[in-house]
Amino acid sequence: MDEKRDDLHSSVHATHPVVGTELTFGSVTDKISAIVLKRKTPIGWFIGFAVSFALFQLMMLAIVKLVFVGIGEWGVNIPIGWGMDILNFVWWIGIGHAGTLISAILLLLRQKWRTSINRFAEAMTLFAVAQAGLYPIMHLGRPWLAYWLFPYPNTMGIWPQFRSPLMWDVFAVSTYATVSALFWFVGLIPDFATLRDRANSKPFRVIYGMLAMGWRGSARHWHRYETAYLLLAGLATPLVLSVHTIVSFDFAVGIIPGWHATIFPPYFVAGAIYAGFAMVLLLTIPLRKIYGLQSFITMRHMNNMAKVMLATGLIVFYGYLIEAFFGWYSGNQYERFMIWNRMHGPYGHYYWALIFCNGLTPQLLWFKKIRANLMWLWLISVVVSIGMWLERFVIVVTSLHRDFLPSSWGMYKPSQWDWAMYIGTIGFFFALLFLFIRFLPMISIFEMRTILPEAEVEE
Amino acid sequence: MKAKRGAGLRFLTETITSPSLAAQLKQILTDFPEAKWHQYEPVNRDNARAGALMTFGQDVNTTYDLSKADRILSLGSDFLNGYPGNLRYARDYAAKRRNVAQAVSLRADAAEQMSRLYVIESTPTITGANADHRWSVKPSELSNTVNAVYRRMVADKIPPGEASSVFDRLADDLKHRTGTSLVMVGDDQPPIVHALAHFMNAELGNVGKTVFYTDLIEANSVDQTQSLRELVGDIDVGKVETLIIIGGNPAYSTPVDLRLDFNRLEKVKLRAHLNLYNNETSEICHWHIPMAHYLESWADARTYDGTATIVQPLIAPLYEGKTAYEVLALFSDNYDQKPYDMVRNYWSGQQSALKSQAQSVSTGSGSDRVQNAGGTPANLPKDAGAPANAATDFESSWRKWLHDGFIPNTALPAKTVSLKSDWANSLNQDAGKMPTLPANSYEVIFRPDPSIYDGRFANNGWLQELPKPLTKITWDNVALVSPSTAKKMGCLPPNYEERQHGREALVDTIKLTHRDKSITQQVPVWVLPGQPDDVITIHLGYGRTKAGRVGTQYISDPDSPLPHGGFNAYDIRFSDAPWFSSSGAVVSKTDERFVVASTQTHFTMDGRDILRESSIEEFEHEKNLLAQERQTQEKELHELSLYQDFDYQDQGLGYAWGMSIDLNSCVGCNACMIACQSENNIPIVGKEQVARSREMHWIRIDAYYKGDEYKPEGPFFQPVPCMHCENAPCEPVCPVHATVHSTEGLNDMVYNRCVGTKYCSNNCPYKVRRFNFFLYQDWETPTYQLMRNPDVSVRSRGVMEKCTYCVQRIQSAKIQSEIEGRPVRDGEIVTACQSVCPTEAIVFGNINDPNSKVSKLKALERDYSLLGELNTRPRTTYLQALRNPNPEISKQ
Repeated sequence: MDEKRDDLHSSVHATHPVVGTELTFGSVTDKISAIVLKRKTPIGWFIGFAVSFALFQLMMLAIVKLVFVGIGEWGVNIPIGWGMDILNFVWWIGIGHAGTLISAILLLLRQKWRTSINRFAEAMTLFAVAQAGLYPIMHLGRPWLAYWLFPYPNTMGIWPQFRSPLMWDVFAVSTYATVSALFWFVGLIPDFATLRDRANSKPFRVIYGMLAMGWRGSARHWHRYETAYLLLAGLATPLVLSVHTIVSFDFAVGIIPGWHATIFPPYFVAGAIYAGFAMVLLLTIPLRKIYGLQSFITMRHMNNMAKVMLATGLIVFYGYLIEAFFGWYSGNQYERFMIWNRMHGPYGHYYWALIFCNGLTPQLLWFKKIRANLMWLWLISVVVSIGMWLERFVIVVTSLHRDFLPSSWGMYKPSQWDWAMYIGTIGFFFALLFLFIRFLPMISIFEMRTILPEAEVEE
Repeated sequence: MKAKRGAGLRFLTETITSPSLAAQLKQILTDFPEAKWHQYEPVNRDNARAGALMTFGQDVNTTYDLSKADRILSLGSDFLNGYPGNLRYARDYAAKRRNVAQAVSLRADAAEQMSRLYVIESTPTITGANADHRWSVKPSELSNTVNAVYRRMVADKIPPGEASSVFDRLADDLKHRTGTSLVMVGDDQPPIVHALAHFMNAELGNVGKTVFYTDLIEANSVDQTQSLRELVGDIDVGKVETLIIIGGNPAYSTPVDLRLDFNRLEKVKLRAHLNLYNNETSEICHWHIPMAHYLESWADARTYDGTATIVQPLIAPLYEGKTAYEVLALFSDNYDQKPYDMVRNYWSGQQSALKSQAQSVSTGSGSDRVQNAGGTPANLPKDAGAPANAATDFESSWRKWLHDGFIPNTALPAKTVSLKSDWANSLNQDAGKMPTLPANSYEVIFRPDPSIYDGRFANNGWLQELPKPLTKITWDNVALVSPSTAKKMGCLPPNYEERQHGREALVDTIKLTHRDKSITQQVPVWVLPGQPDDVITIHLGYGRTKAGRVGTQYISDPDSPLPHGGFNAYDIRFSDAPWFSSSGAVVSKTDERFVVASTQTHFTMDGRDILRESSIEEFEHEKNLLAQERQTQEKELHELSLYQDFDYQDQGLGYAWGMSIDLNSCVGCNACMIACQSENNIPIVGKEQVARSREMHWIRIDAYYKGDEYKPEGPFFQPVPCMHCENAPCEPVCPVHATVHSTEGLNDMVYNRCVGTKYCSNNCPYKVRRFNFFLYQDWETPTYQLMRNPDVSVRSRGVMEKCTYCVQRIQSAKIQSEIEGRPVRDGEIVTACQSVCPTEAIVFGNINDPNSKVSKLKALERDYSLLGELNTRPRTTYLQALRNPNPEISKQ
């Protein structure tokens, strides 16, 4: 036992343990469940929830307007058929990547530090995917016919067109959403049982009881649970790679210069993980402070997440460089113009802001001092999140706005309803997060207990 | 009124070419000898009339035969677009060039064979854009320039070798083609230019060969400005008691110094106005009489060469409109006579005159060629001369005229006119005149708008949304200036990037003052390459205060939706200078900027191989290279695919539809765009949506300049409909199979299946797809329901649409051919754009048939695919444009 503890808290990590040494089985359960069951809901929660719920209503308004009046409310036009809709879809989907990566891949790689952040990251993933899922439906000219994209048996005898990347998107995103939701829910079952057992009021006992699905914590339950969880992790792992690969196909399969690039799949996946971790950091840094979870989410987590960001950020930056290089190296006049236009065209400032946000800013993470400074980390996360939005803007809009025939070039500006929808989805995302924090254990109680020193029994 | 012999009774009409209506008016003037008939139209031929009087001592109608003209000099004549007879001229002009260009392999003497067009003009027109050589000259200098050409032409003593200026070389070139050259002149040019043109044509021996003088086609030609001046004078002294205004909108369109405004008209006791629209004039008249549209009524008219045609109604008047015949009939005893009877009776009375005319010599221009080409027997029935059965004789002639659409042999005969003995004097009087412009002021040109003309079509949404041929502006008029003049004024070129909305262009505005009048609104300044320096061109027809739902000027809210409807150029147009004013307009830049909605923002190709255009000489040099490139490209791209080509021969009836667009013929007149809009129920979307780059035209005309903005060539025009690519990039990306390839190679759009992802449009390299961002169609208004083509689906909100190659016409021809048990004949299917193209630039047909016209065109060495390197393998291909510049001038 001592050996293992030494291993866990080896000299490298001595300053940043995965879990606070003062914690015990009992205190872990107490501390986490108290947020849901005992502690008084802080006034900040009410304010935060109210604001995000109001923004959620703005989104509903934008959607109602859109459905009744038409997609012309948005800024899209010919030639820029996709604007804020698709770029925000990709942005949200990217954010939704960290959760599964942390939960599944790190689980399979037996990275124990994942435990205290996986629940939260998964919830974030799920909520982000929900936002992302709204966009492909709402961006349709006739959103009420969105179900035509599913291969359902119908009297017309028509299938969707399986050659279209949008069709692949439907499968990729819906599979991802389903598996993420299952993974998240299955992971919650033992903790639902804990909450059921500890709840003071009848309604809570009933609700948590139903959600716990009869969990009693028997050895058989645990055995089956472990198997199911591992299987789901195995299922989810390829999805981390596939979803954004397929999203990138939306562009890479297209013929438009700036879209038609083989580098897109790896570059998109790296970008997604990058964005996802930025968002996890962006959210956990304040949460950890507010709810006093420093002993659960330690500086070790921060350090590791920052390193993942640095690594994926470098891949993304490489992607930008290689895109520019190939634009020039291809010798193709349209590709060359596309790169020139990205840098010096009317949207040039977006490109340079992108290089600053996503290319240069993360270089700060090379420094240990910055990785240890929460303020810096948080600011970098904000910058990266903005940078990822800019990246999608540059890819979607600047490629479309000047393509082959100069006669059809045009400009794009998001309308107020574009912004309403975007801000609304942010509101929706946070509203769901606030509900999650308030009613569900944001850190996995039982998994935390397994990494406590107490859990390390000699066999 | 009869008692007063019509004293105080005045009629004000537009130009009348209807023989029967003129006869009716003349009858009224006989019945009421004190009454007067005035004519005024803002775009008139007063200058041509004055020029003819100056030259011949009598007014003549001038017609041209471009099919025989090898060297054409146009002096501000926009004969390809805005000119009487432009359809015939454009067709003849293009046919002559095409005959050379469409030889399978260009003959060695192609440059000799092909006609050559020189244009000297002020404001760029599409005729100028199509010219082999174009010079832009200030209006005040134009007559001197023309005079220089003329002097070179008449001076025998100067040996040809000593040609010093381009104009000398031009004169020499024309002179070498005696009898097959042609000098044309625009109606808006000053009389002296008309006179010079007459002299030059006489000198070149063109009269009777390419130029014909005939009697006037107007029933009663007058100096219209003078006619209006007389009317205004009479009104001002209170001599007018009853004013009947037949058509036109004089309260809006009269010159500012002769404006028939409310204060002036108040002196007239009774005013009635017959017009299609309840407009500015109706507002200040006691009576507005709703007019029957010409498609709702019987009438007749004369074409540019005098050929008479009977106008037949297609529908009974929808809103009980009245024709001019019915209104004028009130002044006769037969006040309830019907237009049909009046027209028929008139022609019945003309029959004997017609017969004698049938014997006379034909003009060689116009109608006899129409008849020969039309396939209908041109001769009158054989028994036409028998006097015994005159009634049945007329009946059969009448029926034949109605069937043919025109009355044969009514083209006015060419007449011989001789130059006035003192013509040289008039030349000398005017030629030296060189007005001096006050400092810091600009010459002003007034022109009818290329889309809405003098304002009469302002309430026509199709025309409002039709991009102007050169600027691609919709819904507004602007002040056109040259790049350096704009700089001088402190105005910037249109800024498309600031507001970032689609194709919104922010432009600077000026306050425009001419003499003591100024335009009330700010005038947007548009930089047009090719405009002469220090000259401002403004178009008539905008700034309507009461035109209807579409046309009325809208200026209130400066933000949204966008103000539109332009400014009223008539407010600074004076009767003594209706077209050019060199007395100087004063300009001051304002701080406000104006949003213009244009449909194209980039007019250069940036070195891309999009619109191929070269001189014959260049083409001879590069054609082998081009052919080689094309072959290797086709081969390489073909080998890329794993799949075999689809075998269209093996499908159904073996049709494979394709189109060929001859850029050598296209003059950029926009007719195809309107035809397509009408055929395919394409909605208009309004200025705000156009500014957001959401216009719905299925076919557009791209315009590209070559050279820099200070020394531009072109623009050259390229109609772009759907290419119907064999490897259509739009097809595989649609997730619901809403755009699919037919077995005849059409790229079909299934509206019902479309969910509106817009992915197809994003992936279309030609950007020809159009999306219904809103419900653009008006489903409610009953007249619109009548307007639509019942064979074409009316699209609703949220679906993509695009050119279908007029699939409804293809289907109906196929059904007909199947009924008759034969394949579809070549030329049986005519797409809407093809059917109206005056220059026959668009040819459609079955490319599986090697003998079809389209297959033969695609086999020409000028044929190329737009963006062919993308391996889209478009079914619509283009034929490279050829120019025929004068080597002597090009060298210089």
